[in-house]
Amino acid sequence: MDCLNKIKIQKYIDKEMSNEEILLIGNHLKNCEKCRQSIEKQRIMAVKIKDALSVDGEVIIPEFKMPEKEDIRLRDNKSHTSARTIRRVAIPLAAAVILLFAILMIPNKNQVDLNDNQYVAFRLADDFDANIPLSQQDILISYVDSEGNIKTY
Amino acid sequence: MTSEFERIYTEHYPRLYRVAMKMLHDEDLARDVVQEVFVAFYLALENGREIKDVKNWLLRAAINKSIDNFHRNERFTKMYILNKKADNGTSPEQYAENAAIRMIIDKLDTRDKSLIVLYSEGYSYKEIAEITGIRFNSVGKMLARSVEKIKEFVKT
Repeated sequence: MDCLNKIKIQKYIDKEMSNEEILLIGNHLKNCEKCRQSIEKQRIMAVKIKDALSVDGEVIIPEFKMPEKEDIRLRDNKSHTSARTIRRVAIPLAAAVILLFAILMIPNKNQVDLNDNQYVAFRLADDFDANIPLSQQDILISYVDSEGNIKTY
Repeated sequence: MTSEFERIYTEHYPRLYRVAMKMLHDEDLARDVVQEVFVAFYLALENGREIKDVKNWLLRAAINKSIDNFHRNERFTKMYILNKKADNGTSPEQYAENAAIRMIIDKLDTRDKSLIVLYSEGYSYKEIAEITGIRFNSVGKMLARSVEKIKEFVKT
């Protein structure tokens, strides 16, 4: 018989195998120090887990109190409402917000053309000085009307 | 409330409380979970639902409700794990190791954690399979894997 794997070791210490298998493993263990040690380690670990999770003291059983029917109905409604809210309101709302956001983010090129092909361009004068307030400097405003005439102020 | 329900309540309350405590590490939350389970059980009976295996039904409900409630209390759970009073005679090393094991178990995924909790309560592989819905043949394998994960963090 081959040495035991972790699963067989676990099943062996939990006695979750047939008597035949237990006998076979028992015979193997007589001659295999390595498997004996592995089983011992696994057994110690199982005990440690049980100890670590142990619940202290005797469990006090309180008297069972049935909630008022109204409370149950409200609670049920609440839980159903929250589930429905997610399914029927929140998801479409999220989709709508994403769609709206996407629409807003796409630059609307047509918007510029809506004004009868009129363009207004601002150009700073050649002697523009960044250290002087704009109000004290000359600004050229070029205006292209619907007939293609350029006017500059 | 029927006498049959009272009998079931008294008989199964301690086991459900222990399972909920092991899942949640919080007395109040564990009691709330057990109360919710019994309310659901009461209503199921009232609605004429046939429950074949009462013990497994209740344990399954306790496990599921504990999983639902686990994240509600996560921050305090960590404090509890560290502050849990050491039993008389428990050495500081033992206390630290127990706390470490509890924390590692809490980090397992919910299915593995449920498995370990039920195992620590002494349920057979067959019972664990019925309660958790894990295939019977997989219980040993999953258990060995979970124990191995815990062992990796704890020197034996």
